[in-house]
Amino acid sequence: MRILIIALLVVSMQVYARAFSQKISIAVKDARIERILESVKQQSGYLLFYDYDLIKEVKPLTINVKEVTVKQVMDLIVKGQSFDYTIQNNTIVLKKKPSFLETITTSLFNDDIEIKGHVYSDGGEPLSGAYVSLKSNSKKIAITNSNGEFTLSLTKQEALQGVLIFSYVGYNKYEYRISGHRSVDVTLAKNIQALSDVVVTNSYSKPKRKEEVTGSIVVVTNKELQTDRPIESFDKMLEGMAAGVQVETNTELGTPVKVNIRGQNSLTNLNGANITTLTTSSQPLYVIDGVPVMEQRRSDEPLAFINNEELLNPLAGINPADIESISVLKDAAAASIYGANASNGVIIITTKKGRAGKTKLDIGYSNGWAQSINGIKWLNGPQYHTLMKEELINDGKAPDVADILAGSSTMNTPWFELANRYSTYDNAELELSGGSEATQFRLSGSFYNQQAIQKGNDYQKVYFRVRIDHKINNQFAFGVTLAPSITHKNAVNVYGIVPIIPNVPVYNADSTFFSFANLGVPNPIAVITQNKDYATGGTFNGNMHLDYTPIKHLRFTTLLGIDALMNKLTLFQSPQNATGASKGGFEQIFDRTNFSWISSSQANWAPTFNNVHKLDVTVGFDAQSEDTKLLNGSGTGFSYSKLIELSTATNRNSASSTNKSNSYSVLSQVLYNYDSKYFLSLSTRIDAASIFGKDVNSTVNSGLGIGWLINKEKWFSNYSWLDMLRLRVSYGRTGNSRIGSYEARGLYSFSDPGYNNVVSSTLTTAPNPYLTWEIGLKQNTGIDFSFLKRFNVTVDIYQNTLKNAINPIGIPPENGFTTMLANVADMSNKGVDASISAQIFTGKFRWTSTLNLGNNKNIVTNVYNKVARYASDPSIAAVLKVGVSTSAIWGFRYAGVDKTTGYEQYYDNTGKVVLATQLDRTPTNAYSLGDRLPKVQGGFINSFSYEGISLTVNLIYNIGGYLLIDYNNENNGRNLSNRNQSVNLLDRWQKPGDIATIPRLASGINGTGNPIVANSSRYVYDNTYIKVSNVSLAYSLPKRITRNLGGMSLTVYGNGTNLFYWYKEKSPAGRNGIKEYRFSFPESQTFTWGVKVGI
Amino acid sequence: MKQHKYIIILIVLVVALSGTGCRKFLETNSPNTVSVAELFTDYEGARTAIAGCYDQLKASNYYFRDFYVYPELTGGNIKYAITSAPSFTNTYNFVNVSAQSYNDMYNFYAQAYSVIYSANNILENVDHVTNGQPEQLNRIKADAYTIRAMAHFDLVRVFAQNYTYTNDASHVGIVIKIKNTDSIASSNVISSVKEVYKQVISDLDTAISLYAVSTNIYPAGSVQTWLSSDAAKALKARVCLYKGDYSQAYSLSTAIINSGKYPLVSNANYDTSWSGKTISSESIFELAFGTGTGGSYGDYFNTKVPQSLYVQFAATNDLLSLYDSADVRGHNFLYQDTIVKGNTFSFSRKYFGTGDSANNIKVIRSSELYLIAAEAAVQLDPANGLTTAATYLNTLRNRANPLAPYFTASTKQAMLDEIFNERRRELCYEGHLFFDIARMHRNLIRNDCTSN
Repeated sequence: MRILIIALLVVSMQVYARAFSQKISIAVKDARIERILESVKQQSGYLLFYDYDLIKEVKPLTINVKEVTVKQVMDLIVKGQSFDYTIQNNTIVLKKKPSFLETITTSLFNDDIEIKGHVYSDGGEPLSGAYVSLKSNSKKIAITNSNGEFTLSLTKQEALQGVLIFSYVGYNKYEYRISGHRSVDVTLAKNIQALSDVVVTNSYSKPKRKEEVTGSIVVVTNKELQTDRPIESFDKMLEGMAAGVQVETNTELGTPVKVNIRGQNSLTNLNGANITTLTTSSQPLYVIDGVPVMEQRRSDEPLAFINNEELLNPLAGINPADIESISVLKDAAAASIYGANASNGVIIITTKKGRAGKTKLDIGYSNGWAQSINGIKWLNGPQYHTLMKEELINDGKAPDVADILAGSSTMNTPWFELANRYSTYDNAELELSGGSEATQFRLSGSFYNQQAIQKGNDYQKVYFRVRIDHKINNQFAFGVTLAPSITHKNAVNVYGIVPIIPNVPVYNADSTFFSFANLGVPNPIAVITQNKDYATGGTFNGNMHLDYTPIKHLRFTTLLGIDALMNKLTLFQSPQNATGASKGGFEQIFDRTNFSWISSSQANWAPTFNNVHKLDVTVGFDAQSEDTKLLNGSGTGFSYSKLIELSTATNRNSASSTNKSNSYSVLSQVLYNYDSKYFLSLSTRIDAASIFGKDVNSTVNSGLGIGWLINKEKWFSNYSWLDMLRLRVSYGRTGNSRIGSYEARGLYSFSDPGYNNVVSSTLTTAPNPYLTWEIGLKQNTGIDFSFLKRFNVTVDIYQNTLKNAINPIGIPPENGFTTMLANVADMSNKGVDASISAQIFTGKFRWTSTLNLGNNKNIVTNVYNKVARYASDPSIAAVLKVGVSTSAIWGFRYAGVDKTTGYEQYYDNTGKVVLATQLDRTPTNAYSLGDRLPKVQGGFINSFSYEGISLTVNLIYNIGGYLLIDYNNENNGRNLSNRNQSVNLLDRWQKPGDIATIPRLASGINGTGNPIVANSSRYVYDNTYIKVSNVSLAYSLPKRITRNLGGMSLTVYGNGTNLFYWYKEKSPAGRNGIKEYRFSFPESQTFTWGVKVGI
Repeated sequence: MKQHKYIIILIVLVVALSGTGCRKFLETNSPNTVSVAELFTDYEGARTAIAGCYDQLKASNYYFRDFYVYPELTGGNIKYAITSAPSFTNTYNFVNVSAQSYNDMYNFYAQAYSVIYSANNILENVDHVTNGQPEQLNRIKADAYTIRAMAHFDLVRVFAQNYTYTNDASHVGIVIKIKNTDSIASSNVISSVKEVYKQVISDLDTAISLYAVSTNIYPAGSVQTWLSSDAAKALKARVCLYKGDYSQAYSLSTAIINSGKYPLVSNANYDTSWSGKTISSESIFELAFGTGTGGSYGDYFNTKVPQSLYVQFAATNDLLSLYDSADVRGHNFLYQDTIVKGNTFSFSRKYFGTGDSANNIKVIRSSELYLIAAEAAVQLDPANGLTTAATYLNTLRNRANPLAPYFTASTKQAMLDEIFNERRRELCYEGHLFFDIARMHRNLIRNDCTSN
């Protein structure tokens, strides 16, 4: 495909010329020619190019000159040799002398002149595949080889008066007047208006020029992703990097995170975490080099796994450093080619491929440490004793009894400090890439080791990736990628979310672990020492593909890909502490394998008619299979605690499960553009899948997009300050296939081992004639413009409607089930995504700034009559209500503490203040206390560079969005006897007349005074914040030095994450607020340094 | 020519890998779930469904905890040993809460109806199976009817007033489900207690007649861990006692006692009959628990598990004081004292379990039939029945304490009072006390009570 680019050349060789002496002195006897040439090069400051083959036969030379010109000395050197030289723009090029015959033929039959040269990027790399063409005759074209070299034959006339045009994708075009020069070396500058000129739009067709894309796609390149950050998976790295993409972070290493593209795309499960029937997935589809990644868990797995198995993030199987670019498909025009899987958006990952040319080796190492930040402040020992005693007195105990029951009044065990640490981080990586015109390869490997700040928790990862691309001949090309990875994760659960009371010791007098009777929790230090909880997992992602181009414009591709995840999780609860004491030790092993394969074949026909009608048609089919095999074994009674294999357990149990689904899809995409001005795209996909059951055989989804490149219109030249202006409109339908198999038909599940060891099955899903598939309608209008050659702006306005949204609803229990999946509501996500990037300074000192934002408003637009009365969850008072977001936090409005009694008060549904005990907590009386998801969120990325120094500062912000914290942290002292609580309890009500926000302490055993109102506005915080999420400072050795080191490069860098937080809602002095409560286990702040060497 | 090699590869890849996209490729079942229609294509599938019903009875929301704790806690056999976050407090305090999630017995309610749904689903689909002998299918149906009757009876005991609350039992009962209906759209009608009992007895009668023409279909487990004709009859005896149909209660209970199939456990073996895995000789039906079940019903009552949520139900002094010191069921034998936060509590060792394995749960055993027979006898014939009742009563008293003096009563009430006490001694922790109090129209007296 002819990819031509609007550009201009900025720099030629003069940039590298230095004020060296032009006079050269050499006095050598019988010296090797390389030494002499090197001396010329150093003294002149000229660049020198030659093929070693030319000079390898040369006998040692004797030269003795003083203060001569370069030309003079070169004349001496080449005298009598088989090669000649040229000097052009301070570059000396040695070349073979034409043989006598060649000279004759050239002069007799053809008076062409060969123009030779190199094309480099402004980073000094040779550009392979750059176009060099003659302006006056477009048939005279040359393409640079892997060393950036080209040769072009011109007539004498052309060589004297012609102009060469140099172009390369993503770089500015440059015109060069030849004026008889035989050798031309140019350096192309990156095109700042089109930093990501080529966009991977999907895994079925070739990358498209940005202007051809009608859909809403955000591209994050490897550089923008800043893969040197100590973050273990790319999905976490995406936070704040792409407009409209929200990453809901967590503080645990290696666990899956939630990624919301344009808001939450499925209903919040009204049955909270208690119900295991999952609703449809809200997570995007991930496709790595054409191979879809399986979700870590299917919705219809048995309870034993859903309840107990900890998951590894399957996306952590790909090393972020191996990613070339990430495309986030947000609207129907972009995503509907993925049909029934595209409802939540699609994330396409393209990995790096090898580059032809000299084999390059890059080695990197980084190292660092982390500490916890913004941890919750708990009561210390004496404070705890005071409060516990007060609570016991309030409960009716005599003061002296209460004093004893409250335990030690002096002891203070800092449990958090004992269970946590400064943790370390290491990462070593290696990359080898190179190849020839026909075959390119890239190998990479990496070792990643990160400790969590919580003791007993760490994460190691070994990545490996091989990619080979081979061009068999002009018609066939072949490629293969193999990427295994191994993860080892230790995650001993030390009940970090259950803070231990501070006035008990860690050890008994005999230095055995102290065991807390009746606290309901084990000694965490004993757990760290004695228990085991580790997962060893592997992922394997790979594909092979064959391209066949029988004739121009027509291409067939077939791809076979596999994605596999294996995870073995071992949990051991030692008999020596409370976790396993009653069972004589307890071990549980989960063995999960997810296997999937895809076979994908397409035909692509991309002709151009009359130079203006450009068509690009893709037709393809996919066959896909996903297979999950689960095995679970557990055992109790371990006689020797150091040998914890199940074979030594007295009692053993096992269970297994297999889930398999197949799907078959036919897809098509038609792209058309007229004169690169008007663009149209239409994609359709038919999915037939075994999960749909026999009642619904297949579903059809499609999307239409229209684009108009306004700056191509003639009249547009009036607005010279506007470089580019484009409008895009799209509309389409996508689906969500991620729902359990045969959900509409009524399902029996088998339990293990069954009643009395007789195979037993129970109805887990009722037959449900009302269940149909969700329909996602997506509408998008976008505008892109760039101006003053410095600013790029993209704004998209979207409205996504979800019809027939599926959710489990409560139904009358007399009908046999308490919940059932049903199509209950319609909802919409509306909003604006925008990104603005600016090259504020472009000279020696560079400053690039990118601001992206995603605004989203979710509204439930319709709750179906049939189910309206069941669409609520009493335990969390959640409701589906028209006009309110599905991610609303439902609850009750706190009215403070009764001055005289110290009891908690609430506003009832009439606005009257009532005691918590009198509050009617049926869902219909609940209020929406705020939306969990933010109004606007995004990132603000600034990069500065000067000479070899570069600085990048990432800010992430979140505006709006509320958080309901765990009430247990300051639960009126209700659980004070079991667990420590927030220092905020110090401000409790103590005596009549006290004005306090924290009620009187009482255990509330009889349900009076202190009922738990978990979803109280008291526990809701505004989650508006700005965070300096990352700062990195790097220094690279300048090119002029590295060139002399044989092209070696060296970069050292330092990096700091989570450096600073600003919250709108301030924490009171010495107390906890959103800053501390936001994560139940605190975030870590990591500092790393690293070095990278390229050879 | 060389090109052909690659074209062949291309065609093979495309056809072999994608050409599988025929209909068969899409007909993949997830093996651990099967649709209703598919399960009932063969007898073996139907049998897994009925075995699944037994599994549902074992749920902690049903016999494994909620249903057995409820009458013991409300009636006064149990008090709390812990002060923070105990379970069933609203029930204990007779607090009426409408919101289902705060209702301690909501989960039991849902579970019992879920059992009924499963039983109905079997009855509605079992005739679709293409293989299986009629005797085998009859057994599946008989079990389904018995289970449906049990669930309705348990529901009506918890959620309605006792049968004799009104003269004609016309007071509000529960929803009867003998046919599965559309889960979302249908509404349900609450029947009177009389109608519920009628349905329960009708189901048990159907089951009894089906058992007569059935065969054993279960390849594993003792027969006492599966329902049977005797179990259906014993349950019917219990229902008749509640209903006040004493002649039926008497004839059904004595017939089983006299059959000699379920002899009382001896004094020497009494303690061990509550631990371990041996099936008690007097069990007519117990719910089987395998090994490694990870806990026992008794964990809620005893101190074996040092976790605060478990050691919460201690025996009341009201209960303990009913035992003679030599009574094998009493404080000196079947209880264990433990100090919780400075206070000493007695915890029952019924359902103590072995290791981490739960005991079987006794649903009905012949000791209860002796007490049914005694009570029915004295109710049927207040004059002569006193002697008959004393025979049955003293058999149990002497089994528990061979030295216990022979109990006689001169009045019907005195005999009923002693039968009530004996029921409490013998059947505590087995889900009876509060129902007995209501059924016998006795006053609820809780002296050793942690309630407010």
